[in-house]
Amino acid sequence: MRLRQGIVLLVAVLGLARSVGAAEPVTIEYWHINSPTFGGPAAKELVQLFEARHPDIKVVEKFQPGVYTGLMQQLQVSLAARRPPAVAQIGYNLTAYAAGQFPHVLLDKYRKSDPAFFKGIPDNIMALGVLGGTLHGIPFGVSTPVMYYNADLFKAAGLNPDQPPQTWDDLQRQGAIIKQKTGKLAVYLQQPNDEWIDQTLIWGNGGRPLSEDGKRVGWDAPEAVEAMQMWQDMVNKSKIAANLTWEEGLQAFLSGHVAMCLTTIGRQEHMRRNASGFQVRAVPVPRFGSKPLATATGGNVLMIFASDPAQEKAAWEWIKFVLSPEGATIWTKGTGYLPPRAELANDPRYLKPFFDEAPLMKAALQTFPYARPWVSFPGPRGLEITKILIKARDEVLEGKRPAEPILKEAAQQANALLPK
Amino acid sequence: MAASARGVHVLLAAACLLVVFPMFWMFSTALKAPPEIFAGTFRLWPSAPTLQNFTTALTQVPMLRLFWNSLVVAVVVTAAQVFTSALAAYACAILRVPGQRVWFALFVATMMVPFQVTMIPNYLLMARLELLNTYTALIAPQVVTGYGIFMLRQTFKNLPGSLVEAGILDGATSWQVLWRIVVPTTRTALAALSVLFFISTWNQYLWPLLVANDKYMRTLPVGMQEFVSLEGGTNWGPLMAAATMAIVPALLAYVVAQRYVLESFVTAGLKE
Amino acid sequence: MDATALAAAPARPRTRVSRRWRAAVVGHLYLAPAIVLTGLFVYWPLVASTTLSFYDWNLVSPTWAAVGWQNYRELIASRAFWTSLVNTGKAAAALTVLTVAVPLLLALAVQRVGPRWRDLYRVVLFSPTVISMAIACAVWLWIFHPLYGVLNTALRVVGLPGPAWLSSSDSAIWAIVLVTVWKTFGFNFVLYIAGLLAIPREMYEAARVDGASERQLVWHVTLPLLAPTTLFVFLSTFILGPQNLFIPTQILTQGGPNEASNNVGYLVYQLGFEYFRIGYASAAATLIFLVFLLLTALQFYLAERRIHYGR
Repeated sequence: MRLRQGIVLLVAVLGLARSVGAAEPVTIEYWHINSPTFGGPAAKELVQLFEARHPDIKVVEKFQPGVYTGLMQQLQVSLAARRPPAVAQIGYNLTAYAAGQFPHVLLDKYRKSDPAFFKGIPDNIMALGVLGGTLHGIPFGVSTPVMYYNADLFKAAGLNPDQPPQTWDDLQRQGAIIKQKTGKLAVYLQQPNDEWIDQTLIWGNGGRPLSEDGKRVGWDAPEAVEAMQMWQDMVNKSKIAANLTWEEGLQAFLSGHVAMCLTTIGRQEHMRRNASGFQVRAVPVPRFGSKPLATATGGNVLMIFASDPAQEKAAWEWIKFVLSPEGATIWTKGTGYLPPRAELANDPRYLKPFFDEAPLMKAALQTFPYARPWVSFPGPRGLEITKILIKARDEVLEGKRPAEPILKEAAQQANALLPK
Repeated sequence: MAASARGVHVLLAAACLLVVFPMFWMFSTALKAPPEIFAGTFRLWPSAPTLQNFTTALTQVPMLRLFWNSLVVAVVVTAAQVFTSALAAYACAILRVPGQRVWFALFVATMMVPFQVTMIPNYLLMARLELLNTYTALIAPQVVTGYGIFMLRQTFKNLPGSLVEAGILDGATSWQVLWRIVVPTTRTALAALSVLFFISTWNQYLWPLLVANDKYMRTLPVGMQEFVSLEGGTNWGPLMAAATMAIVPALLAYVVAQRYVLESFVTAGLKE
Repeated sequence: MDATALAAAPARPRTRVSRRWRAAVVGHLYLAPAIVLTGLFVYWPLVASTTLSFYDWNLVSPTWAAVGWQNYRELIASRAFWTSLVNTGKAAAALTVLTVAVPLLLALAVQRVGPRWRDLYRVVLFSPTVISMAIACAVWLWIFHPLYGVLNTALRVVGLPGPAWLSSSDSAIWAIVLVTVWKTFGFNFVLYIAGLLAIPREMYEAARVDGASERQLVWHVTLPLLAPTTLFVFLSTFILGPQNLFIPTQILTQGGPNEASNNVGYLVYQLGFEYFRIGYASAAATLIFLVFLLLTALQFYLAERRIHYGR
């Protein structure tokens, strides 16, 4: 009894001593992609709230331009200089590379020490941070592609804007009518310097961007070829789809020159504010015939790069906070990303009011259960594999050759780069 | 004669229109409210001009601080580049220094080194010296330029030999010849170079992006990227407003300098 | 006496040897800042990166794997490298022609108008030079828009079908060249104006007395006397022009579609910062450096022989 009390006392004293020693606050850097119009204010608000609760931790939030690839470049050079941020957002398409190449903290140990934290995050979402059975990052932002559409153009074409296309066949049928009646193009599928929508098409038609054993890409499989051929035909044969660079495509939709636009739910606020004289609505992306919906999931995981234990601890506290119901609510309101804790969307204390007032978000919520990973290709050459798919897509959309030989060649190149 | 003068005016006016249109578009976009930015029909001037975008630009990023950073970097880099170039060019063009041709070739060869090559080692050097997010890091690697040395050597070579000769007869040292004769007679070229250096430093992007990621140490072109988001959507209005504000100093520098630069060409007696 | 015959130390020399010594020391003092700084910030990195080109390294891993000439072999076998090289050549040629011819023509025109107009034209024509390249590209994005951009709208008015500027592999590189010319011709324009002002009036008057027509004046007086300016403009455009392609490429096309608008500077960046293959990127940079060095040396050689500038 005595002994135990003594130990408790000793621990308490030591603890006190430690907290006295730690009177100097720990400063951690947090790198994000949240520009002033895309969650920047939310990031600041989170920092303020967090610092108020944890006076012993200071968080320096740093916006990195160029979205996830831009952040990744900065991260890579900072690691080379051995001064990485404690926590950074890593896009899902880059997680395999970051987990494979960067020194970082593995997070499985926190499953044991903090089981409460992991409750309420669905398995299919948590899986986005798992590679090879190990937890490398905590899924933070979750975005799905949705199809925005211009309700007024539908009306002008004599179509019912309450019944937008649900399948690609539907879309091509209605699209032809839109083109014929209004002279406008029917659809634009986003074409940034990534292959998110490409992977969504492959998943959607029942294919896989990467085989389950990770040894082969699945772009030359019949499902993938068929999906990409459909895209090519819409651009080059029926000429109802626009082949434009990313910002151009968005300008075309917002200015009413294209009736439908497939892109991220992260844009919903931007779409609502900038649509020029028409009503924007959103639905899940079209399905392939009777096949179930399946979309690649965008967004990011939070990974810890701090090597100092005190910093690592502070970083984990920060992650716990931003993913708490309270933090996630601020984050979702600021970005339009879905919260990993899906149940918050129905909770009147947290996100229900927001979802009730943002009708476009419903399309994303409906897509949520069908979210598949945005495959990030493994191995040190993974980033080049991504680029091979982007180049193949470019060539497919130019329409000088059918999709099949293009994808066959691309798959061959990619397979050679995958780790054996 | 009158007809051909009119033809010249037509040509120049057309050129001016082509040249100015993109800038005009920038300015008019800066005055547009969001839905009008994406108006489906071509609209030269906003139907309801607003200064809202300027306010947004000024409040969402620390514009004044960005301005100041860009200014400090551009001024110091310009001055340093002109200074080091003038010294080296003087030694290569006018003095007789053993090995001057070799040194000159080595300076000129630096123009052929792509920036992407030196970027990483220089970044690592700055990081190791604990200089990230400082003016030193923004400035130091660019205080010398092969282009400047190359350009000034050509200029100095074209100086009439008699000018320098006169200086020597007066018993001036090489230092005095440089500052009393060479620099004053070539001040036009020096001024033109300064304008060029100032503008190119003012608009630099890649290097400042690497070494200054602290919000308060960023330069204008990097700071403005906060309005560009491929994920959430680019905020065109404030971006164009910020861009409009950003060109003012560089344009002023030129307007002030151009009269001086060009006129002194005529008065400098630099006739060949 | 030739200006270069001036020794660095005009102070009374005691012997020939010590005079030479002094000249060498003083001369090198002038050269020192440039030598030290280029050594530290250009040549040392160049050596480091050439060394790196024989390794496989991603910036982060603690170890470098030596791969011999593998990076070079892979590069020479890659389509991206050759496409970029050819594109850079095309773009450099177009840039050189356009940013020499356009500014020259405009400078000749500006010289013929009254002084008040002249000032206005000078400022206006120079103005794109002061805008940042990144912003210029953001603005041009709207102009290039194939569906409702000003450029294609104008082309349609005159009955031409405008291309999908940025997403067609035939036009993307030319769109980039166009922006670059728009943004950079102003400086050469000013150089030409200065060059023209430096031509003494008497030269024209003498030619007029000999009965030369206006056109003959341009061909036989103006252009020959502008030769040094032209040489300079030509060299600097050829050397610096390709570097100006970087930002337009990054903002407008990222080298796409399918490498069609890639160029060597952007390729090095892609290999290094999109794929993080620093060794491979260094190999590309080293090869490109050598190609440029060769071409420039050739140019200098030809220029020194052809044009007698100066007096």
